[in-house]
Amino acid sequence: MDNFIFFLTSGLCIGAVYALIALGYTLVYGIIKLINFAHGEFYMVGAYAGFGIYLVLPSGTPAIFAIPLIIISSGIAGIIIAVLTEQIAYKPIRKSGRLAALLTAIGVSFLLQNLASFINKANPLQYSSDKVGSIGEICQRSVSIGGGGIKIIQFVYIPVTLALTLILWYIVMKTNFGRAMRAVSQDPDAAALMGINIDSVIRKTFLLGGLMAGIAGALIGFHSVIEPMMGFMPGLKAFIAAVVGGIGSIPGAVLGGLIIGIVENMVLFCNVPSGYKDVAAFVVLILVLLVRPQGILGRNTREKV
Amino acid sequence: MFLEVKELSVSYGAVDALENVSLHINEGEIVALLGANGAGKSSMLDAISRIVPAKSGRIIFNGADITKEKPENVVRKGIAHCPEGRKIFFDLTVLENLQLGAYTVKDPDAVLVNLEKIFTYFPVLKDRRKQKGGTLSGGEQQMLAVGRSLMSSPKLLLLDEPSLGLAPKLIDQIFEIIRKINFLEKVTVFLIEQNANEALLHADRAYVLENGRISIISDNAEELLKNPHIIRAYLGG
Repeated sequence: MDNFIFFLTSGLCIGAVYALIALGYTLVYGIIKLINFAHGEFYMVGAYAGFGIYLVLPSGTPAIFAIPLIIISSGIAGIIIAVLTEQIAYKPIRKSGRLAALLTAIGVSFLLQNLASFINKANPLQYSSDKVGSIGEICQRSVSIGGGGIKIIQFVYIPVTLALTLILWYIVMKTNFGRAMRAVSQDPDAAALMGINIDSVIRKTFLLGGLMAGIAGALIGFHSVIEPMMGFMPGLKAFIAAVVGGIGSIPGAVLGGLIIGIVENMVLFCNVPSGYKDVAAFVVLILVLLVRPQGILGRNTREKV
Repeated sequence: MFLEVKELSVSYGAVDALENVSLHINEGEIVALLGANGAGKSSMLDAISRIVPAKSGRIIFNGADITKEKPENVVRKGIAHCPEGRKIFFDLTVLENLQLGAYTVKDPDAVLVNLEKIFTYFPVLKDRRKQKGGTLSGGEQQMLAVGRSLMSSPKLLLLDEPSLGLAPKLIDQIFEIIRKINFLEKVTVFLIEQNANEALLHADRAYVLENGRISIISDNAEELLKNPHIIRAYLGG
């Protein structure tokens, strides 16, 4: 029982990152009903971009300055890749049906993974922790909580996710743009009659999703290896989190992310071999879909024709 | 001429909805476009507000060719379209629906002025402003749809079947308000109706659309009420 607090904390931290990625899935789905399978790759690109900034920073840059800079750069990279993907790959086929869009998303996912392998020769990258006070070393430092070590950088995850979720919530619920987003989500034709530029709303939605995925990439990159396939599993789990929480729902995405993070850590707590950890998310998905197909906070709306 | 539609054709794939249709609307008028289900009435309004492309022909509003304009620019130029089936945003509150109607209005004070005006025309919307649009009754939804269109301070209001699914008493009420808005706010109205009787009572002029073509043009809408063809086809005579 000693380890319970450790696994719970660990689960909440990683869950916050899943939530950040899941928000992008849920936003994009809400607007254009597309499961953007390339979303995990936006996260991967964010991690690489952050590392790239780290490489060009003068070696003595204090971490307190470098870490926010890396997070912001990753967010910007996430925005750029997300908006480019939307403009180049999704926009031209927007009227070709949902299956075409879904297949394109999978194609973009493979393309970005392979592009990253091509550029970086598939070498895993990691923030160097050789020197005391370097970013890598600081991010690897850990504190003991409930019988296990938690890296201090992980404590940044929850406040970052919380802050971004609140900002997002404010944008969607309180601003003109947010109202336009919700209008487009419900009825694009009626939204167009209001004078809303649908293309612009979709572009900005990808921008928000890309921003959060990019930042999530920076956060994980700080203490983990950065490699071309790194977006696959977290992307999949975040997608599951969005579905579990109720796809299209912002609080649902956060709740789903936290649930997936906690459950997979509870599996470890119960002494299940760590190889089975990744199965936990799928089990949760199946259970939730059996009991509540629309997701925990999702609304039971039938497709209107 | 305020609005001029010249030889407009609209088609959906192989199906022609409108063929070489020409009509015009003068400033300050209420003009009705009548026709049976599927005659192409809604296509006409959809083409004017640019949510459906014109195959050929031209649409000129206030001297400017809007045939290739984007829908949001048509709204900015002063055309508001209150669509068939109302299309209000069910999950948004009444107030949010109205605010969306003023999406192209950048001045927040102007939005507030418009909002107060709408609330005087439709007091029920003020009472229900915090309710979700989907919780309103049919008549209230129609009022919300009309109110929402007026939030952009349009010069021309396109109304698609305002009487659809409403009780006769409510239909009278809606038409009275439309007349008031036309007179007091100087909004030109182009409305399409299956309920020919009601539309002709309130319109200045009327067109009748049959199978995608204009079959009757009348400069005196009330006169049409006595037209034997109209009585037979649309008034159940």
